[in-house]
Amino acid sequence: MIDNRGHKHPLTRIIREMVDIFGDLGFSVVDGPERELEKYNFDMLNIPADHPARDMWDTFWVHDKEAKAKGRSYPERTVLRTHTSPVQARYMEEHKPPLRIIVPGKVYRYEATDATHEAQFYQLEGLMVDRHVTLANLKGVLTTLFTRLFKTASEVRFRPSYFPFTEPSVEVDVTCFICKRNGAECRVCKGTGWIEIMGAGAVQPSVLHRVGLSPDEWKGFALGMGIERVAMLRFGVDDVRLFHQGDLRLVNQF
Amino acid sequence: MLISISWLQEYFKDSLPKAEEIARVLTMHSNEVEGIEEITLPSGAKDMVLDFKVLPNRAADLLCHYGLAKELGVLLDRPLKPRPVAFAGVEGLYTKDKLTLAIEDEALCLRAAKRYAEDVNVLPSPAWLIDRLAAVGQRSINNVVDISNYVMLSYGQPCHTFDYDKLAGDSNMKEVTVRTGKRGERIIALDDVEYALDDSVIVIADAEKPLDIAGIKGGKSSMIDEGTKRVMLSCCSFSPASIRKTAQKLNLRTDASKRFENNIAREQVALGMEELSRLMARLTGARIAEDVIDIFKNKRERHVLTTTRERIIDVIGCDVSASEIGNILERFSVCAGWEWKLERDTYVVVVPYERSDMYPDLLRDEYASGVEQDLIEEIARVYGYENIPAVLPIEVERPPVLPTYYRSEQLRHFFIERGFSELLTYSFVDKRASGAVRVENPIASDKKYLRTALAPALLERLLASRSQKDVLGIDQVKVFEIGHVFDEEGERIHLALAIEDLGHDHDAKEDAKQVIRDMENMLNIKNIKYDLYTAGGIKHGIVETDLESLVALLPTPVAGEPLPEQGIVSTAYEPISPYPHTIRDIAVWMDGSREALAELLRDKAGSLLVALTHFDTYEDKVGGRSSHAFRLVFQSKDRTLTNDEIVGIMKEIDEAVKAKGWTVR
Repeated sequence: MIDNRGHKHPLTRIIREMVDIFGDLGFSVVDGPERELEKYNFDMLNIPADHPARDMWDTFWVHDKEAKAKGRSYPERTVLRTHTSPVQARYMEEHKPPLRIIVPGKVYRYEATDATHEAQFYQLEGLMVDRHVTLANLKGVLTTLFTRLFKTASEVRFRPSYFPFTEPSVEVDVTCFICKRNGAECRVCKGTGWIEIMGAGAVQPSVLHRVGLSPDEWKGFALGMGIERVAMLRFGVDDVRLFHQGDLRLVNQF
Repeated sequence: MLISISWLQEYFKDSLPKAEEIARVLTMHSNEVEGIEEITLPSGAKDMVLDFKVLPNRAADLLCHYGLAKELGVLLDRPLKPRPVAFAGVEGLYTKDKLTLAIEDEALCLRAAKRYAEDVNVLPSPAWLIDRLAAVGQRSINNVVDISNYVMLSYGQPCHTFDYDKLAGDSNMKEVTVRTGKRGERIIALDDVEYALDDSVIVIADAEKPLDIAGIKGGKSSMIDEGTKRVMLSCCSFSPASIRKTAQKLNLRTDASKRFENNIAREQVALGMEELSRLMARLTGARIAEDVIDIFKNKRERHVLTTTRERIIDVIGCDVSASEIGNILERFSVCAGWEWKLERDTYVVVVPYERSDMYPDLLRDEYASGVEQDLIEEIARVYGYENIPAVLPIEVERPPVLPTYYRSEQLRHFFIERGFSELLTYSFVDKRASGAVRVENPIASDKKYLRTALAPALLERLLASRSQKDVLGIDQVKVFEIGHVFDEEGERIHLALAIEDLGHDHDAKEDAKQVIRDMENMLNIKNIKYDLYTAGGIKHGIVETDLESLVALLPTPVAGEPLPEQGIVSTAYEPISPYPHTIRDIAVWMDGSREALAELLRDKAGSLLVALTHFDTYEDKVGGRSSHAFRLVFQSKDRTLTNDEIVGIMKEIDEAVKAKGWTVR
């Protein structure tokens, strides 16, 4: 009865499930650097310097004075990427559509940590670009994703939102898989029947234009979600920090 | 922004729906309402207040009650009351006889308007105004100051009032300039803090000195007080980027700076001045000059956007009808000042100035703002995203897997089969390793650097986990991590593993090397390069290797190649107890299977038992009996267990063992 089994981290388990589901829908895994150029993290995504949209991301800046002195500097200022979205621009610069990619990876936010906030966490980005891609396709992909991920027939609902790199932008809610929309007392959805799960939208035309694609010719959708949020919902973990503290009392339960 | 429902109601003839319904409509079609609160106002009246989360693209037009009323009018299909008749000042009383105005740089100050007022009575505000400000969390100061605030919260346009007699110059003629600060100039603002100015800061100045930090905060020297009789009314528009930079530099974010940096339309200055004048006349008895000095050279045409039904359908994927599109545009036209017409199959829409989000933005790419997509989004959100169906895109072949991801999953599978647990640790570390990259703004003093290796964190976690082995029911700590590491050259993906040294003759380092050899066999390659971690003379076996170099040696996975199965994911997570655990060992002479004893132990130990491990068997060849030894680990989720509790449980176990005819050794 000694537990000699190994254990996969719950976050990499969730990522893997998403990779499998998206893989069935034709999306391939892509990655990018965690230390990212300002250009890809912001400017290419329609978030210019001196624009209030930058306030949406609390950013860690990397100090590279010593490296610069030794001539080993990056070509411009770097950040710890605040989202996996820079990979959208990096990938589109190198690959012609049609394309379907997902980017699971670690991201960073300069914010005080508590039970629901971490300075580092995991995101999964999705991007589809083709001649005809609509918000209805986005809804179709997400409905399939959540139905398989939460192992119960799920619906998604869009609400208006704003991200500089998508337009229209939406917040995505998914039907509560805990109470199946029947729980007035449900602790997860608080009786609303819906769980806020991610942000998404149609790719903003300037994002295509900056990577040399004609916004008249190509359309796309992009999505981004926090892996910890999904893992916390699925497993009932109540403190996001547990995922990053290297605590076997968490990991060995999976 | 806090929104008072009674305040909103002023703009409508018919009564609005309940606050909950307004919140629902806004959340589903505009921006999110995060809370609703019923409050009692200073006068004793009740009001409902919405916590409305305005996103950056709509901050130009929705950070005010009138802007939100127009939005709500469109969404509820409910027209607003007509605007009041234009305000007229006192005939024959002229601003131009009292002051001159100049703008030094029209790229920084897009528009400036001033108006003269006299016979002002500075008094406490009337009850209705105190209520309005209180509803949105603002304190009343006096009627003149409150009016400026009220105009901004009503119409979005920040405005300011200066005590005319405190301005330098002739008692009946003042020279006012909007200019940049001069190095060495200082100003005490209304917050009593002194700020140093320079040529990046815009100021409104009299002939001698700066009077305020333009667009951000008023100055002390010209502030309204009980004795104020003559006032200069002021409404301006500034470069959003300049205001943002100044507010950041001075660390002074105000309600006004927030609106300017979000690009409130310069055309709103006229509306702000009109409402400021009207209220000054009504509430302070002031005589307001007939004319406004309004320097506005940056005039522009209203922006025109076009789209077609086909293009809308192409974006949202939903068969919205022409009559529905026409109906939505008509609502914008009736309630929000849009103009539209259908030319053949093209909708031609004239957008009102206040919708800065639908105008071109000089800071950005030509496709970024003021484009067809802006119009499509407006139509789509009013139409309702709930009407969009879920349609899967056409099927395509399963693509090849990214080599680093494929190999990472393969190696995870390999390690888990060998009893390793996967850890994810922090990228931030406290110690400066050679070549380590520093974070410019670390979140804590012990998180200044980026990790150059995974091994130190794995060692730390290995050591910390040793005391938890009983609770975990494991006899050896074995962990691994796959993650990014950083140095001045760039970043790499590393793999590290750590094996606990068990003492005696155990050689954990050799075990770790053996794992590398097993990896070589599994991957069918030779001579994986790795580092053996030996810091501090540790005996634990910790090795680290560069996963990317490894992947480069391996064949690329082909399309359709499946990843190793990861098995069913458990969903029964038990929260980690912060309380200490207690251990009891028991050995029992028995006949039958040891599982029968385990069952008895689990049953009698109850919910406080968190781990049960078998650690010894002794066969009595002669007597035909066996002795089985188990370790019981007790822990509570909500308290430290007392000795008495454990003694009680062990006594029950003893009795149950005896009842079976077995013997505790």
